[in-house]
Amino acid sequence: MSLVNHHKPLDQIVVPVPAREQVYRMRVAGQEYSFQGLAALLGAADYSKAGDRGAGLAVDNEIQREAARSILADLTLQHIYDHPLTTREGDIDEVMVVNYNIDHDVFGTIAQLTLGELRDRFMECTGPELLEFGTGMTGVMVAAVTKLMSVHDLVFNARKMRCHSQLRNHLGFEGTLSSRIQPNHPTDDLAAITAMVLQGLSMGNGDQVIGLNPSDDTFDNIAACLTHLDQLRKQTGAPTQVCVLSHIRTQLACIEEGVPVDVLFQSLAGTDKTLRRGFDVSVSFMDKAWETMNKKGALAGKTEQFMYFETGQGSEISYGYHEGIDMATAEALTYGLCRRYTPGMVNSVTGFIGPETHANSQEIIISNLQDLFMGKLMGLPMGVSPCFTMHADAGVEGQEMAVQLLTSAGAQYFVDIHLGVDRMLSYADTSGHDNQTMREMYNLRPAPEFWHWCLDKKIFIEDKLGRIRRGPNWGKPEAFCDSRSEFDDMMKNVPMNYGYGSGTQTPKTAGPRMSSPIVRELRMNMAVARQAATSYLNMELLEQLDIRLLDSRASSLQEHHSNPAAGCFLAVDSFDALAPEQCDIQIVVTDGLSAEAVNTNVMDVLPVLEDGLLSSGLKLGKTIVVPHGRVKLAEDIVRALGCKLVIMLLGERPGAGIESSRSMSAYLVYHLTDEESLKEARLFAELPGLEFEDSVIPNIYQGGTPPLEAGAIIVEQARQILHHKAAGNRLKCLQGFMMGLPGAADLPMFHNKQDDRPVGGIRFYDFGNQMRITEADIMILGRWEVREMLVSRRAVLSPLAMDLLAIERIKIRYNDQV
Amino acid sequence: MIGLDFGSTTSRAMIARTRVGQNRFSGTLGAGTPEIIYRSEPLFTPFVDDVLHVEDVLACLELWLKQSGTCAEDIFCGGLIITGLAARGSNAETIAAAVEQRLCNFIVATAADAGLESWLAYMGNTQRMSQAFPRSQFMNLDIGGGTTNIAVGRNGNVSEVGCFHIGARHFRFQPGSYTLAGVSEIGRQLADYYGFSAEVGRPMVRSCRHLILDLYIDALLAIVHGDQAFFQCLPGSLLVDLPSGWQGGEDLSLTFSGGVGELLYKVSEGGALPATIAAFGDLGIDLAERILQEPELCRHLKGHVPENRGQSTVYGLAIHSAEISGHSVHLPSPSLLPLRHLPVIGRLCISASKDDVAQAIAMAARCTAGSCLQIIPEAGSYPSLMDVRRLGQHLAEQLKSGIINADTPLLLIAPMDFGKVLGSYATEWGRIPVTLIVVDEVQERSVQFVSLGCARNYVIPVYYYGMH
Repeated sequence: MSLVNHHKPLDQIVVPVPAREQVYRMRVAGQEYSFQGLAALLGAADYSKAGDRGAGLAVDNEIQREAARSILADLTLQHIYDHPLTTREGDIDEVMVVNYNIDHDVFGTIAQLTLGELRDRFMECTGPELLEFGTGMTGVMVAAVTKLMSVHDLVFNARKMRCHSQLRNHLGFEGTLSSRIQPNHPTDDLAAITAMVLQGLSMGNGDQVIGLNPSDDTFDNIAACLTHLDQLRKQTGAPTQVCVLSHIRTQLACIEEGVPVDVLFQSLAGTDKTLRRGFDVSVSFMDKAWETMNKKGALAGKTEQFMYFETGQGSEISYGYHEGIDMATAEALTYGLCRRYTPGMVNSVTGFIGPETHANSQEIIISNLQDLFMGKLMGLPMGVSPCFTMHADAGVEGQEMAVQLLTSAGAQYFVDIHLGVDRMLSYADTSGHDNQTMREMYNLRPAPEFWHWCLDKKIFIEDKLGRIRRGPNWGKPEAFCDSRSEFDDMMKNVPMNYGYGSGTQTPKTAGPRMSSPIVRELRMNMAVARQAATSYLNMELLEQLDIRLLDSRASSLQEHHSNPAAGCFLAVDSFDALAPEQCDIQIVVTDGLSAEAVNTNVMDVLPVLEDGLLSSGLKLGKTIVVPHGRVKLAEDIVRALGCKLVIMLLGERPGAGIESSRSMSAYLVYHLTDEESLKEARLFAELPGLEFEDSVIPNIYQGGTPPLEAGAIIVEQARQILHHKAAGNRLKCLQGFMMGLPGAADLPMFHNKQDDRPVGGIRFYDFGNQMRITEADIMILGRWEVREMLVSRRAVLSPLAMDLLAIERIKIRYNDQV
Repeated sequence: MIGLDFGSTTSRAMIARTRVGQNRFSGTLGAGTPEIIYRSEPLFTPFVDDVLHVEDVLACLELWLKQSGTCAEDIFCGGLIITGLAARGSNAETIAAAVEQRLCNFIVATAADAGLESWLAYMGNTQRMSQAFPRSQFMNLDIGGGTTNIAVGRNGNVSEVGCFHIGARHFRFQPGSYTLAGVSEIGRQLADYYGFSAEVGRPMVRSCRHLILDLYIDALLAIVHGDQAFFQCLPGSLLVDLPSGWQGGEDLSLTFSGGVGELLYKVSEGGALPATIAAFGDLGIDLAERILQEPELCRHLKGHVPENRGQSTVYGLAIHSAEISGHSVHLPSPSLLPLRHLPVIGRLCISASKDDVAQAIAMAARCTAGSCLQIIPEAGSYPSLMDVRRLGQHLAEQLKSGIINADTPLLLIAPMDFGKVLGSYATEWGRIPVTLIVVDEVQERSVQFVSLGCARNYVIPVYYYGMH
């Protein structure tokens, strides 16, 4: 079987030529409300959410919204069919094309219904009938009817549908609730990952998948993680599947090398530009990936539901490629794309991005319910992650409400993150405790094969009334180890591991929930992180320094969080107050997403910076402080001052740890001015309009890189940038891993190697598709007197190889296109 | 990471794999939890006429690399130790050099470094257990063929080391009998003290064996009690190799490692001692039997069972021989690495005065092949900007005078992450022509020498040896 047996090739899918954009009008209480085009109407009809507001797609008041909904309710499905949404350029993109791959017979039965009538039909019909309707609907139709539905409507209808999937086990049956163990770790430490997997399994989680988001996307690491998780699965005997959620290209490389890949993961989006530019894939690439998996995946021949997609409202807006389509509609279009590949699981992680897409818990909950309903209607086995970041006005209470509603609405699975805080991605999501609470409240079991495995391991028991109960081994991961100390030893490398420290006697659970000491520590850490996210720059402290105070276009903290663009520019008055100063470097202090981080670290970093830069003979502008700024503000400041380099000191998005919520970053934004650097940089990045390159030194805080040390690192990096006239990855390629100050090579004991090689020998060497370039490779090039080497963009160069490149003065060029 | 242990009786290898990567949480680079991928079977140390030859050691190494499927080029760091009687051969340093050369990347190689061996055995055998019981004091007794290496520590940190000539192979026998096949120098001294003849080819009678074993047990008890007087007069003084400063104390838990240690745990777990008393051709089984009869020595055998037992030194070598530096060191050029055998000439407090610094730099100037100073922060807390700036300026003042040649390496080792900032101030941001390296996030230790391996993924392996 191949993909074309399920779905048509792109060029055979018929999409109507877009009709001329229509103006939709309605009069309410003597006032006319009008909407220019279907996309605008859809945006206006949705519950107001921050992302749509920021993109100008939401309306200002409830009357406008209800007017849009009323107009929408009277449109037929045929009307929606005849008006495919287009890109800004007026084209129909590939994601839209895929959405038109529907069952036309089914569509024929509903085409003349209005959306209002369809909503009413939904309320009457059964789950299987709903699923049948879904096969005849495009994503836009699904989104349109969803916008007419209330919370009860969404829960009532979503609950009726069950979308089964079959991998190593059978998922999605009535009466089940599955879970994905997400054992993320900041260094992919296999012992810590093992501990979190065993902890999750011991609580009856992981039947959907054991899925790791890796911190390092190199082939070696992904292969090691996949192999390790596969071994763990086999050792424990858990009937489930494993997945490492790296870029799909890395997973495909693993398949080619024989590494077991049960499930192929990729993030998808609802516009072609987001898909290509944000996620580096296209529909045709995904088609090929499916075919590869179907032939060579670990479950090839056993199932065709081996794909795993993650989605979530707002990614298109966050990347700036929404094409004027609102978040819910783009999400439904994403589901239309997911549907093409009959996935075994889809997870909507709405809420992950932050307040620029969802300002508060209520917006997140609405989106969660919409996503679940829309995904199920399109036949997808939907998991939902009701997650939040610390800088959104969302918290645990809202998340728990979402979990209740989603369980009631029949979500197929939730994730299990150890204690509910992701240690790598800095956000909060559901925990194994949440999953168990839902199981006991709603009497839900994991997938049948996994249920029996849990009974066998005494993780669960069934009481006389047939209800699921915690067994004697529930929450006892040591049952999988030789001893408790062996487990504790693995667990000690897990950060933010409240109550699980070695030798601690803290009770771990209270019934299905976390014990009180653990909850209190967790919530206190979250409170500190949240306070950091909503803190203000300490002007009293900063005014002790010789600074100039300017404003960004974000007039308040709320605007700063909900409208990222406002923090990217100086306010007009501030811009006008600046004039070119001919400085080399301008230091700028701004709050970013944690003013507290700046307040904590800046007084240590700044003196070191000034000492180092002035000692290096560089001319510094008077330090600028701008409340409510983002990294891109640096570009505006360069335009105003004409400096070569801006060093931006700003707070990072707080995670759920006390120390890390005080973490500051330094962005070194270099203005490319001379012709040669511009040409090189644009060629390197394949961005013709590129004007700036930047390097970043993150995690400046006492638990990461201490501020004093960070100051010296920033000085070193600034000197390297000015010396090589390059920043970011291009700088790394140019200078390798010199671990020293530019100019040190000119000191007497480091004779500066002159490029006195003869022009004979081999000038170019092409590494073709070789993915790992080591120092040994470069040594050979040195011997051959090679001047330039060609490598794939995805090749990984070892740091010492980069050193040698710099020493041998060998240039890098790429032999492939993105 | 590799550990190679050539001891008096047996030799072993262990290979572990770890990943040095960036911590997304803290942004720092560091090594992950090591995973043991290969443990060799113990081989009899390939003596030929009581001498360990380079070719035989290299042959063992090739065998272990082949069995583990590891390329020599993949070895990032590790250690080779030649201990006990094996270290008595005059060619130990030659062997160390040959192994270093074969493994491409630098590993530390030492012979007869009793303090290091004691420390490694503790780290390999007892560290994890002592961390699991952080309030208890642990003593590890690594009883091998030639020596018993002791280390005392709490919560994974060693506070005292020592080494005594208590070992199974000072009297070697023909297999299956007590007919002497060889006697070490220490064995001969003991025989002379007790006035019995230790002639090769003649049996060592029961009473003589008991004299030796009684002495060993008394000595082990004296070690445990911290009875310094026992070793200050004969015959105890004959047993001292590296005296220990341990004065005794309450709540001491004992662990054992080495060949004799392995036997002790085997028996305590229900196994039997080998049927033939002299099966190993030495006093190992007799010594194990006597320890098992001594309640004070064997009271923790069942309660505290370490995981590596007989393989503790080689485990310690594989996992702990190198400390991994922080990722933001001050290093003028990576081509300076590796740097070998720098004498550790002293410690400088972060608040050191101008005179203290001048004195230390003057001493460094006398070491023409380079030297190392350890930087100590106040009360273990991260230094202030004022402290770092001032110490940097004091150092810069001295270095500017040219007292140290521009190409003579001066290594500063700091226990916390302030290497680059200190190095920057000390060289006036790279303007002073001096080969100053500041490696940070490496704990201070009381040692004589330090070496630096080659950098990989922005971190450097640091080897301490010659422990006090």
